[in-house]
Amino acid sequence: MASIPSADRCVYCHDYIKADAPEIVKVMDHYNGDKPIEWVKVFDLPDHVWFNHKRHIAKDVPCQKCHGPVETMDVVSRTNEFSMGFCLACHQENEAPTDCWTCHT
Amino acid sequence: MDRRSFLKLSGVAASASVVGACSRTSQNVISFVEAPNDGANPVDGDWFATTCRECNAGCGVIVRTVNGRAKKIEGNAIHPISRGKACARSQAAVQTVYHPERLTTPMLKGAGGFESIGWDKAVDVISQRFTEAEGKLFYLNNGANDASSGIVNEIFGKMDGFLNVGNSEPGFESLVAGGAALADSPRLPFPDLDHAQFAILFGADIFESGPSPVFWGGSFGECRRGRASVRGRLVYAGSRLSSTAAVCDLWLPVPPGKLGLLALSVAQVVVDIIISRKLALTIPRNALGRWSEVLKDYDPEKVAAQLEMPAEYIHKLAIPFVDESPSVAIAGADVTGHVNGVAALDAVEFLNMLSYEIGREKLRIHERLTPEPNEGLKRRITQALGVDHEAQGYKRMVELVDGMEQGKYSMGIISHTNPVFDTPAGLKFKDAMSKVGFTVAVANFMDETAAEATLVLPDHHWLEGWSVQNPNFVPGVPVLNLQQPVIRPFVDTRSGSDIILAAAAAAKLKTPAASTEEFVQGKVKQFRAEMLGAPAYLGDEEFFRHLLRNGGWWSSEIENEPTPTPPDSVLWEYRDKLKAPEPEFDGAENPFYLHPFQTVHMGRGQGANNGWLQEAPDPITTLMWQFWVEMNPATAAKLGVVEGDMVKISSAHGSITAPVFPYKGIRPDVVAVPIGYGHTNYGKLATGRGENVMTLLGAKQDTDSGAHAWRAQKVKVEKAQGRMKMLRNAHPEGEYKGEVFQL
Ligand code: SF4
Repeated sequence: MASIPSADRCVYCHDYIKADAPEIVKVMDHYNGDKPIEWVKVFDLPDHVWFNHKRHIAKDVPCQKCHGPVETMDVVSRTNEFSMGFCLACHQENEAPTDCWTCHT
Repeated sequence: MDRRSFLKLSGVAASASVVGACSRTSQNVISFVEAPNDGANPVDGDWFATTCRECNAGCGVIVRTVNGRAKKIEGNAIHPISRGKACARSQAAVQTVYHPERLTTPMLKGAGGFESIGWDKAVDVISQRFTEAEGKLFYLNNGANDASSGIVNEIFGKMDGFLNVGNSEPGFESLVAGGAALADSPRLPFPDLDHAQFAILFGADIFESGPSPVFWGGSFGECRRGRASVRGRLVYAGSRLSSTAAVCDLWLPVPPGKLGLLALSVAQVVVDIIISRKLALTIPRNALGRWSEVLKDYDPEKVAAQLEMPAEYIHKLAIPFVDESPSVAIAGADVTGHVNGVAALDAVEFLNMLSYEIGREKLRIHERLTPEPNEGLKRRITQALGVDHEAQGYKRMVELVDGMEQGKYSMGIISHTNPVFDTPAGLKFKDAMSKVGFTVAVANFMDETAAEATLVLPDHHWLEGWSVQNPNFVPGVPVLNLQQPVIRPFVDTRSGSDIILAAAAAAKLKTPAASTEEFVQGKVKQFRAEMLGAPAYLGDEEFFRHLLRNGGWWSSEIENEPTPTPPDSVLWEYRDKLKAPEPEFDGAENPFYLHPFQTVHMGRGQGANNGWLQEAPDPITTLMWQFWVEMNPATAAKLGVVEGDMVKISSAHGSITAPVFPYKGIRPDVVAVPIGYGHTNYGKLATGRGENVMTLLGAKQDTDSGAHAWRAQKVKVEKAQGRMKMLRNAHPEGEYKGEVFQL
C-alpha cells in the first residue's frame, strides 16, 4: 500500500501556491501546531489481502481503473467497491493469476 | 545518522472509525508532521545497523525502515556472531513495536491497583526511593551486559548492600564452569563446528536454545555445506529428538543424566585408539598409559547396560571421532539440565582436547576465523557494563531470593526479565519479591513480574532506544555491539536507563552520564584506544558514527587457534574431574522424567505474546497457537491416550494438564513439555494459552556450579478429562504419514 506523505511535504509547495485556500490553511495549521493530520483513508483493503502497487503499475494498469477519475475530484471519494469480485473481474479480463494465494498469502 | 528526538506523533498509525461518505468501515491514517530524517528513499527505505535484544546472544542485525516505520529485520552480514542471519524471534520483533498491548504510561500501584502517573512523577518517586534505599537495592535483568546494567552498576556498584543479578539462560553457569581447567580462564565452550568433519552433540540443542542459536546455525551450515568435498556428520545423544537432533545423522536416546558417562566411555575408546595408533602429539606416551588406566571403568562393555545401548554404538561414536578428525564434542541443555552437568561438561571438554591432539598431529585442525581474541579487553568491557559472569545465573538468583526473604533489600529494579514466570516453582521468587518494599519493573509489556511490581516503567523497544552490549559469546573475543534508535518511539515511552539516570541525579547520586546515549558514546570513547583496526584519523564523534553504521566494533578476523593442550603436569590434575556421578532427581519415586525444553519461537516465554511467533509452526510437531506434551506412542498406548487426549502431569510442586502429542523421537520413560506457555498475565495472545511447565519444577541445583538442574525432575502422568483438536500443519514423521499427500 502506498504510504501517506508527511505534512511538511505539503508545505514545500503550498507555502507559495494557494496558501490562502481554506483547506490549505487547515493543513498549515496542523503543520505549524505540530499536530498530525488524521487523513481519512478512502481506499482500503482488509488485512488478509496482499496488494502491491508495483506490479499493477508495471502492467500499465491506469490509476483510474481502481481509484476512479481522481484528477477531476475536489474531494476524493470511492467510485468502485473494493470487493473480491471487483479484483477478480479485472484479473480475469487481463489473464492475471486468480489463484487464492495471489492475494491471500 | 540523525538524532531521534522524542516522538512528535505516532506516525502512520491507523485507528478505526466510520466514514460517512461510504457505508463501509474505513480507517483514519495519521501521518507525520515532519518526515523522519532517516533517508531519502520512501519506497525501498533505508537499512540501519543495530543489535537484536530479543535474547542475549548479541546478534548484529540490520533493519529496513520506510517512512519512519521498521519493516524488516535481517542479520548483519559483517557481524561476527550473526554472520548475516537472524532467527524467527528477531524477525518477529517488528510486531512487538506496533503491538496494541504495549505499555504506554508509567504506572504506580495504589490501593486500587495500578494508576497511571506522569513521567515526572515517576522520576520523583524513584529518586526518593533511591535516597531511602541507601544502596540496599538489587538490579535484576536477563543477564545482559549492557548500557542499562552498566549505568546501574556505576551508580550503585560500590555501595554496600547492592546486588547485580542476571536471570540468565538455564545452565549458563555450568557451561562457563565446565572444562574450565583445560582453558586459560572460565569461558563458554567454543568448539569449531564450522570445520569439523564429525561432531557429537551431547544433548546440545544449539539451534533452539543455548548461548547463540544463530551463530551455531551458521556453523552447522558451514559444517554441512561449506566445503566442496566434505559433508560434516553429526550424531546427537540425548533423551529427546529435538529440532537440532532432527538435522543430525544419528540419534542415540541416552537415559537422562547419563551423557557424561557416555562422553567418558567414548573418551576411553579414543585414548586406546590414540595409544595403539601412536597419534598423540603433545601428551607423552607413558602419560597416555596412565589416562587409559584412569578411564578403564568406562569401557563400553562395562557401561553399555547403564546407557541402555549396545557397546558397539559407543565404538561407532569413538572410531569416527578419530578417523574423521577434525571432530568436536558439544554439550548443551540435556547435560546442563542435570545435577551432574559440570562433571559431564568436564568429560566433553576432555574429548575436545583429545580431538585437538589428534588433529594437530595430522595437521587437520582448521583454525576458526573469529575477531582477534583479547581476554583482557573483554574482561574490562564486561566490568564496565555491569552484570559479569559471576553475577549471572541461578546461584545468584538463589542469593537474591534469600536476601529478599531476609529483608536485605528495600528496593529492586527488574529490567526486561520475567522471573515470576520463568523461574522454577521451587525457587519461590514471587513470594520473596513480595517482601521487597518497592520494586520497579522496566518492561515493554505487562507480564507476571511487572504485575507484582510497585512501579512499572514502559521502556523503549530495542528498535527505539540506545544501548551498548557486550555479548557473552564469542568467548574471549571482545565484541562491542551498538544498539541505536532506528525508528522514533511509537508510543510515549522513555528509555528505562534514562529514567534511572534522571532519578539518580535528582537523588544527588553520582551518575556516569546525563543520558544513555551519552553513556554509550562514553564507553566507545573509553575503549577506543584498544580497539584494533579503529581508524585513527576520525574524531570521536565521527568514529562513533562509523561504528553505528557497522553495528558496533570487533577487530578483523584472524585464525583462532584452539586452546593448546595443557602441559602434562597440569593435565594430570584433570583426572579427578573425569567422573560420572549418578544423576539425582526431585520426585525420584515418580515414573516419568520431565523434559522441559525451549522452542525457537517461545524462548523462555517472551515470544508468547507475538502473533507471528504463535503462528509459526513448531519445527518438530508443526503445532501452532497451541501447547502440548510429547510422549512416546508406546507410553501413550500404556496410558490409554491418543493424540489430543488431555493428561495431567504432576509433581510435588504443582500440576498441569496438556493434550498429548505422540512422538517417536522421545524415550518411553520421558515426557517433554515446551517452556513459555501458560502465561497468566501477558496479554490476550499469551494468557491462558497452555500451562507453565516451570510450576512443576523443584529447586535442584548442579552440584558444582549451582546452576538450576531444570531437567532433574520426575513426574506422574495420568489420563485426564477432555480432548483437544491438535492444530498441526503436517505429520512430524513427514508427508507420507500425513493426511495431506499431493502427487
Ligand atoms: S539468537 Fe537471540 S540475539 Fe540472535 S537473532 Fe535470535 S533472538 Fe536475536
